Amino acid sequence: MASSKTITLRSSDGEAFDLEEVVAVESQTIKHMIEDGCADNAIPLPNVTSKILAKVIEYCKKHVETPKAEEHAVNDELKAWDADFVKVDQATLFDLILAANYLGIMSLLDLTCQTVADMIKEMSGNEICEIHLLIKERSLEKICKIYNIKTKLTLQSSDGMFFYVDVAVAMESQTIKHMIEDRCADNAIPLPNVTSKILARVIEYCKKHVETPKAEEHAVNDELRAWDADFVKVDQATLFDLILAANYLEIKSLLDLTCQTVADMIRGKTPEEIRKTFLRKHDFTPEEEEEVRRENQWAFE
Amino acid sequence: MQAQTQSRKLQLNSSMARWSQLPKDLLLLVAQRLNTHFDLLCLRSVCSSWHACVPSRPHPLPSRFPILPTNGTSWGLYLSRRTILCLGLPESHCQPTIGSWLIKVEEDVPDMAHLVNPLSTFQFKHLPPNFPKTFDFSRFRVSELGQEYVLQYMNHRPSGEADEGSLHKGKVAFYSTSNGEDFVMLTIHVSGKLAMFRHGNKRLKTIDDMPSCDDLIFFNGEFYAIDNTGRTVVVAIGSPPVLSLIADSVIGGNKKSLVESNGELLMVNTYFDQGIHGIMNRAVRFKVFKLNQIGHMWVEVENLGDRILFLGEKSTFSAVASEFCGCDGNCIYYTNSFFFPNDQEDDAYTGIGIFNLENGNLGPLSSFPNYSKVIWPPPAWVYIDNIGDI
Repeated sequence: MASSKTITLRSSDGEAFDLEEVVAVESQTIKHMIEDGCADNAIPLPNVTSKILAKVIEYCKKHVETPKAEEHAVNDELKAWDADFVKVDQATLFDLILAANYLGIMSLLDLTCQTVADMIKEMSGNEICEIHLLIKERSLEKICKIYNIKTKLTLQSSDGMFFYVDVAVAMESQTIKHMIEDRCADNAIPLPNVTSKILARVIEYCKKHVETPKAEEHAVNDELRAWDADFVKVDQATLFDLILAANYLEIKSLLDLTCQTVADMIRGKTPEEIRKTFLRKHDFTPEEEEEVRRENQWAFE
Repeated sequence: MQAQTQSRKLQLNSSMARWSQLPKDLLLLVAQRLNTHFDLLCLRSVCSSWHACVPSRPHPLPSRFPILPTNGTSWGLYLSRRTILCLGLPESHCQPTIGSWLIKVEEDVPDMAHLVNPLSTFQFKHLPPNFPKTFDFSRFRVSELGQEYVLQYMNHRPSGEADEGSLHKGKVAFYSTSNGEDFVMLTIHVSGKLAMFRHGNKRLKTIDDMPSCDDLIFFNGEFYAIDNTGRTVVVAIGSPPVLSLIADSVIGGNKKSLVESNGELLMVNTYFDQGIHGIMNRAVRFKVFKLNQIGHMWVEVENLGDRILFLGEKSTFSAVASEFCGCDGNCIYYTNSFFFPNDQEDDAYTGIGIFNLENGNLGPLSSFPNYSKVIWPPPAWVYIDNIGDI
């Protein structure tokens, strides 16, 4: 009889886990490592914490021990065990998905992703928004796609173009976030006040801001600030449209950015210079013109 | 082809016209970010709808309020406000030989404004003969560099005389809410201590924890005070006011001043020397420091780059050298009660010196025409009626 070898796994936080080879090879990744002869010492798993690794090992052990019987009773018992196994908080569930994917444990990946897909169907608006943020944070879009977990939604511009956007990105707009919460976002969301040219820019802005972690480190924030400064280097007509769009879509950071840009363009200029940049000429009535003249003219003694 | 350019012109015109239709609440979001009186005035002067939307901020102080001093005598004081402005030409008329003009304006009595030397309290009584009778601010680019507050006796007539009536030789720092309803004023009492006056108070109240105070400033929403050793505190307004240490003393130097430059708080340490008669204080050199908040200390700054610091009698401010033609940065304009040998009494430049950080040279402002013309006389472009003539 072949002796069952012991495999040692080391979690990202340095804890060592010993398990029988027959259990370890539930993971395709570890199986390949053993076949390639890389498993003589402890196998480091830098992507998996001890908390998650413990759970994964628990799952693998149970599935190895339970014979895949013809008898439904045994299979039902296993199904019930599985159902209990995934009764964990959302963050742990997502970590299990990531671990299952990394370790190549197909049955665990199926189980966890299906659980998330079922959860979303039952969820309230608020919870949906949180789930999408978690998916974005852990870059799980591809996996979710396989399991038909919708991570994108459709926006339609005033000139009829469709934009396919990650939910987490679209949620930068409070207006759209409320629609998701109210479950009005299942079909395409029409945005009659925003042209495709402007919507494309707004989406670009939201993408960048969702993808950049708001770090304590000034370096990251400085880089984002520099990106923002470039973003608003547009002609005044586009700037105007961006302000209106940011207001309509309720994207506070974009509204702040565009209004600050206009203020900076105005500061220290003469009224005539401002008119040249933004308008044609003034349209004051004679009374208004007189009032403006009075406000601007001082007599020095 | 012509139809194309015409239609593009129309498009440009119509897109430009849209700005006058910017919804009021969005225009106000922009206006909120322009917080000086002149910027708002400018915004109001652009077009009809903006004129209607943007509120005009009252320029004079909310009230000339009587403040009774702490020793209980019955004369009252009032607070006079002056604004330091940098005037320039619109971009289309800028040339390398044309520089901006630095002025200080006082308008305590409505419709009667005075030009004051930006660094001192010297009023320019004799305006040049062809100085415009009415000065139109909308023709110029106006940047507000700072505000100056001076306490004056109530009976002192505001027109004409230099303010010998000011009780406190030291600085006044002032803050009021934008509607003028609430305000706080800090000043340096004759005893050298800090004194505070708040809306609703009847008298100035001294703050005992900060004796021998050299300078005050309202910066970044807070009051800062520095004593003659360089020890610097933030004064949190309350009853009682709370002082928190933000920088320890520095070694050496005589007088400390606080000045804002490019969004940062700087400290200037003035080194005095005994004058010829051994009585007057004469400034001989300056060191500049910036604040290391974490280390609670002032760290020396070797070079100011393009910036110029102005240490006036009653206020401090800074500017960018490239605004003024023929001026280099990295220097300090300062006031000194010591009279330079070639000073004329009651001259525009009396008691003002200039210090070069790079080589340590200093001298009276009157000896440096490129630097003195920043203040006086008014540049040629002020006189020209129609800007288009330049």
